[in-house]
Amino acid sequence: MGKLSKKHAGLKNNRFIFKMLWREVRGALRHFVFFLSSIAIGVGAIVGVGNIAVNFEAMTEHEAKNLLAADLEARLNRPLSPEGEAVLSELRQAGVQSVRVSEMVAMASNPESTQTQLVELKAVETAYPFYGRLQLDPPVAQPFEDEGVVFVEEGLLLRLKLAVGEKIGLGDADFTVGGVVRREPDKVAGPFSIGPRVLISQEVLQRTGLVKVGSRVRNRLLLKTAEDWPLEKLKNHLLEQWADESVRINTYREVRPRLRRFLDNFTTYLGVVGLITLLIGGIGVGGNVHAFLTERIKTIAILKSLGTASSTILKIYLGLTLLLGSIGGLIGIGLGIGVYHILGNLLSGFLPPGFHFQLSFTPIAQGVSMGLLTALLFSIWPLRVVGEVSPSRVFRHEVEAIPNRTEKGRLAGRFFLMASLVLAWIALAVWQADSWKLGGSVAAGLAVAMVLLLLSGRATLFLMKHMGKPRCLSLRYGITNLYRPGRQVAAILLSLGIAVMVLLTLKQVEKNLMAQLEQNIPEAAPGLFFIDIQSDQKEGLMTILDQWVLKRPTALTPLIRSRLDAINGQKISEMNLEGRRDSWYFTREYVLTYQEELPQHNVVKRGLWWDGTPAGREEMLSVEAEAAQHLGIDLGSEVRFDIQGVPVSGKISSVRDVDWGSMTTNFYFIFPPEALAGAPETFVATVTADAADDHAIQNAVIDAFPNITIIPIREILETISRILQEVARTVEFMAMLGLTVGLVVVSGAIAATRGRRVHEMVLFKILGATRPNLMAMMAVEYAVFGLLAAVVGGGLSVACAWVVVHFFLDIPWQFAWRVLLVGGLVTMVLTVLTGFLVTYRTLGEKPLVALRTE
Amino acid sequence: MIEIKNLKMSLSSAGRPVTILDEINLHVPAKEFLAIVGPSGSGKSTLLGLTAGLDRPTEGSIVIDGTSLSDLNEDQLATLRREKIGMVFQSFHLIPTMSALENVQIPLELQGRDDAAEAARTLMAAVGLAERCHHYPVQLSGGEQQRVAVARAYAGSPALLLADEPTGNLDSKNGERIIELLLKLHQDQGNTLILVTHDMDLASRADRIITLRDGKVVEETRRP
Ligand SMILES: Nc1ncnc2c1ncn2[C@@H]1O[C@H](COP(=O)(O)OP(=O)(O)OP(=O)(O)O)[C@@H](O)[C@H]1O
Ligand SMILES: [Mg+2]
Repeated sequence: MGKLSKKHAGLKNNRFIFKMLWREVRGALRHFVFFLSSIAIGVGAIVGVGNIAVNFEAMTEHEAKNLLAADLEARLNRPLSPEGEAVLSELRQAGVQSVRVSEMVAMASNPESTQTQLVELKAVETAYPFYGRLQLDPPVAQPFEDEGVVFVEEGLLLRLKLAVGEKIGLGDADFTVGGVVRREPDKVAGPFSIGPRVLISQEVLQRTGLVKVGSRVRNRLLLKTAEDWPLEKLKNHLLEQWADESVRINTYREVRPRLRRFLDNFTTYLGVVGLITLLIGGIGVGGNVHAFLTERIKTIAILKSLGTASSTILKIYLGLTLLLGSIGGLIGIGLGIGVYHILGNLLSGFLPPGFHFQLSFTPIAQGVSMGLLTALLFSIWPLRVVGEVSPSRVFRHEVEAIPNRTEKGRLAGRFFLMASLVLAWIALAVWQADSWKLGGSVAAGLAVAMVLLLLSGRATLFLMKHMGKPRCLSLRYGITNLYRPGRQVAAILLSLGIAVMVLLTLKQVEKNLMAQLEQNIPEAAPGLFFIDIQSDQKEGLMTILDQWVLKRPTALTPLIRSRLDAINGQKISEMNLEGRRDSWYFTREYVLTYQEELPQHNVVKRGLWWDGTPAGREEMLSVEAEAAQHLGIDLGSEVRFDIQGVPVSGKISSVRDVDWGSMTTNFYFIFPPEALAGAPETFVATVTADAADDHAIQNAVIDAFPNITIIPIREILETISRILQEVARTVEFMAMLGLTVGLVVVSGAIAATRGRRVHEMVLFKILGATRPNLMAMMAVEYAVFGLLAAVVGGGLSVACAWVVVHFFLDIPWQFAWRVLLVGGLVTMVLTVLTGFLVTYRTLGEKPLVALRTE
Repeated sequence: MIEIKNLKMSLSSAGRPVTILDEINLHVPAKEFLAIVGPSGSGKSTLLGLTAGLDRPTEGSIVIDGTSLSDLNEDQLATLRREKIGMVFQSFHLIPTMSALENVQIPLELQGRDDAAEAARTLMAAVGLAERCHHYPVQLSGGEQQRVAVARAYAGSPALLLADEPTGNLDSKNGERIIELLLKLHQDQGNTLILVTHDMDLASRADRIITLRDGKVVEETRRP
């Protein structure tokens, strides 16, 4: 054959492929509804999540540039030492500018009424901000020069019924509202806010008198580089010079705010759920292609016996898969846009007001190509039969036309094919998750889950087969139907099982989280937390609180600020702490307390608590286990503290384990009461009243003692719980998509057996089965499918949820049997409904007509 | 046992009404062996199907043991078949996803018999297939499949057995075995047997032969 005629033959062959492809599409589009919807929903999930992720990223990116309002930020855990200050002033002389920022939660009030409101106070200096724009309304040229003026967020004015120019109370003094803060460069958008912003100068902060011993102030230094001090040089210089200070230094490049990280993780996990949805869809595609080929096996055999090459036939069906994958992908884009709008609504709490979502191309392209690749990958396995089919066998076999060959060469080939498909899918997962670790572990986890699902499915079927057959006819046939050939049990079990597993895992984790929160809200957690109560205010405070019915007596916990002075006689200042990562334990400020009783959530690990010990009590001291380890102390060690110049020491008599997760004040060191008599102290108190009284109590206390800071713990917990619910709803929505695909796969698998079912039903009718008989058989069969998926998927979900709760969340595990029960029932009901939806019409087939078409 | 009066069946084929059965009147007494012959397309299968209540006639009535089929709904018809009627087809019509034994078991189970499995095994032995109980239909030869079908048809001890060209797909040797089987069971159980066939030799063994042509009974011969 000449070159030209070879080429000609090739072209002819291509024409044949396209013709055949077109014939198949035209004739079988109805068959591919399940293929299309499986891919479409999977792609929809990925496109939707991808777009949300891109938007969140854009949102945080957009704000990242101004996020610091400076080049470099130093967070101070305690004030700089004189030496540290000296470093700063040297730098200032070299042109490096700096601004001190102090932030705290405080109470603002309207002096004219009794209205109060918790605010986030932020004190800055005149040079603020170095970058970004501070927008005030009305605009003020030098906002932080005037010591009598504060700027507030608009919401605060509304709540306190104030207007610009009127007086506002903060701590000990009243100030004029100089304007409304419209925009603040380094404010991170997000739901984690306690109250509206009040922006003031450092001088105003001093005048409020709110900064005292015991008040919670976060101090930061903002720095701007100078010509001689570029960013990295400045940073290294500070790291070196401030090695002994308790600071954390970040450049604007390193700033990754909590919200951003959270959204990053969150969208990644949503993406993983999307990926799983696509995987389930892939299983559906595989099942659909398998069913289609089973139907076409005769055609393939005839084509082969007419002399068509296997590769040509393979090309026809691969082309079909690609075409259908593309169509599914396109439908998926539409679905994805819908998903993205729903997610956007569900997560609206995370968006800054006025932020507009925009569709972007990249995630759409990624979703569609993922869909196409998934369709291809999952079709290849069933398509392998095109090569394996032997015409002579086909004409004999009816039920499972797929040959069951196990010749050695073929087995190796299959193994190789399967392995490369699995690897290819792992690569897809890594690509989608954008991380080797996450993508790899998701893929590995899914592989394990799939193997377990299949194994336990097999085991269950085996048990059922050998368990003896139930008496009831419908039950018997429903169950025995499961292990008949050609039922696609594997596809159903895998898709439904994985969907159930994901959904129930998420549900159980959520239940555990919520249980943990709820456990804290009504009982352990107080409604209000009071800080900075002075000794002479104790009685007055108690009298005020007596006006309300409290759910629990209010306990005042004394706080005494101190520093470690010496351990076992060796002075801290003389210790060599250089290079020690935990030097913080030696140099930090310790808040001490004295207690008669062992506090709740504390357990003595070694030694004895002092109750019942009459002698030598004033010598005793209790330490928290972890601190003891870092400080290298144990029972019998002598520890000396410096309390505003007065040395106080004790011998370690007990080592405690502390549950830091509990919503109470916890301490590293606790003395017996007599040991700290006369030390300068303030008190904190937790007040647990009826939620409705919280506000009135706050007002009364603030009114009487303006210096006391109140933290509304209940409100904060409620905010957290609201956010968690928002997150949970979103995740659930995604998981529902997975379940939907699972049900689509189930429909596809059942529909694939439709022709056979019609035949069977008719025969049953001829043999005398009534429609109720048949319906009961169907119901049992589908219910057993659902039950199997629910039991195996549910079982795996318990393992997954336990791992997440135990290792990642580190909260106590509660077995959420209600979730499992309801989940199992819902799965069964949905499976039965889906099955009926697909097959109810077979019930009405006229026997005579059906027999004729056979 | 069967009383067919003025039976008429017309269907629309390609939009045009076609009369398949016309004015059929037939009385089949209990325990009779009736053969129906006639050219292809004459309506034999349709008549048999209507008798089994698998479809409804356009006009006329079929009464089996005093019960008029037109008074029964679909489920009652099924119950009637379960209790009284067994069927054998040309193309066997075994349920492909069930083993031979399971196929035979179905009518027994539908009747609610507790000993369905044992009874089915006995029947399988009676048709000479005791060893093939757990084979699926595709694993059996045509003759074997038809023997299973006969076992299944007789499983419920029906008073009426309808056989539609049961040997049509079989070679003569296998066909003969099936016929022997059918007739032996007919004699043993004393039921009514209606057999559709093209084979005049076979038909001549019946008590009575009726010939259908274009949906009408055109001839009736009684064995002397
Ligand atoms: N559902 C239907 N729609 C249209 N025509 C039908 C239908 N059922 C049967 N027929 C027609 O009715 C006629 C009788 O069919 P039937 O199957 O009863 O014939 P038969 O005598 O059993 O033939 P054969 O010996 O070939 O089995 C045929 O012409 C057939 O085409
Ligand atoms: Mg016929």
